[in-house]
Amino acid sequence: MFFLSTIADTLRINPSIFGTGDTSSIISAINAKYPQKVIMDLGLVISLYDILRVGSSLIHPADGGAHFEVVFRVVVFKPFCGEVVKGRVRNCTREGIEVSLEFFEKIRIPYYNIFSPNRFVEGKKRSEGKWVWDDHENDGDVVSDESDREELAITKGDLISFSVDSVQFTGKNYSVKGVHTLEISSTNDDKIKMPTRKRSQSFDKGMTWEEGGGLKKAEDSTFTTTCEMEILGSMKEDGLGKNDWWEAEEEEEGEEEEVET
Amino acid sequence: MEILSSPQQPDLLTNHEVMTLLTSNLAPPKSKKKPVSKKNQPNTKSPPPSAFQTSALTYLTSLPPPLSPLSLLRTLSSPKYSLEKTEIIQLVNLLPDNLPLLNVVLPEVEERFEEGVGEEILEVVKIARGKEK
Repeated sequence: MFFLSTIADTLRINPSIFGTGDTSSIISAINAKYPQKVIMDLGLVISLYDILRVGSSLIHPADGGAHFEVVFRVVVFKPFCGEVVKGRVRNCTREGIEVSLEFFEKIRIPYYNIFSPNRFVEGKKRSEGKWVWDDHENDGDVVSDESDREELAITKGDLISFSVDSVQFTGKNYSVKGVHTLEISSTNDDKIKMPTRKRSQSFDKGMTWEEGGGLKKAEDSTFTTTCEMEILGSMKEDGLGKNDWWEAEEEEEGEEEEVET
Repeated sequence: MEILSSPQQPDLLTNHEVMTLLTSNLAPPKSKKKPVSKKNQPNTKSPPPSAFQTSALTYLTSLPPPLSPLSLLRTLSSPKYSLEKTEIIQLVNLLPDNLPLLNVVLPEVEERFEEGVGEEILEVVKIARGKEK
């Protein structure tokens, strides 16, 4: 789920923090830029791990800040395909289950990747729906009333295990004419590069579209193009879902063995 | 920005290692120095603990970690089990307590290992988890 990645970048240090003699200013610059950022095809950066090398600084004309070339390692979150992850159910809808890991919430298990046979039971409120795994073969049926029987259900707030089916990255660019998708990359499929038209350089180069309207000059070209990560999960195999289901099954098997002996 | 390491062969970290790192990052610095006058002093304070890293730490602490993760890692890394790196990490992170979940983490357990090895791995994990209680 977590791994280390080595990154080389040029960081700008403000003149106000010159003269400290240590790497705290560089650490601050990295911590201000990288955590909570998604890097295309890499993952979600969690935290700085360590600094490997700090190069010599450069000062550009008309800029009082110093630019350091830094090589450092960061902790990145990106589960690999097939990895089993535990998360809490954020929402159950007819389209599937949305899962949350507290720090990352773009995880969903589509309805076709949920254990079968299954059915979706609507609740009184939209957030009270649940997915039920039962023995009857009524896939996809929507039942408005539930019967009084013990059922294997997943509702909002449950802690579940699921396996990662694919991790999808979407690159977006905010330009004068709005948001358009640059690239979609998935761990299972090849990269899909969206067609782009040539634009006037004065519009796109170093300019970003501010939320609420208006152009603004990008402070850092690295994140002019934003990237989002989404995880698709699966819960079709035995052992996944709620842990209670499988513990109870093992206890029953143990009792049966005792009765036989 | 340039990514130097290969994403195909990453250095994997367990949840416990990340939790330890975040705990040390978010801990308040211990300073016995007397407060210095702020006049003409450069601003060297590190940014406040981000809500994002705090939420990551909240998630990691909600999952029960093994009491001695290093010894568990050494046991699972022994040539006796011939486990992949990703499988070892998952076993340490999830601490499975039932065979169905173990079968998902270690595919084709019955074909890869001799009879009883799956239960043996479960017992090793159970001891690592049970010591904490």
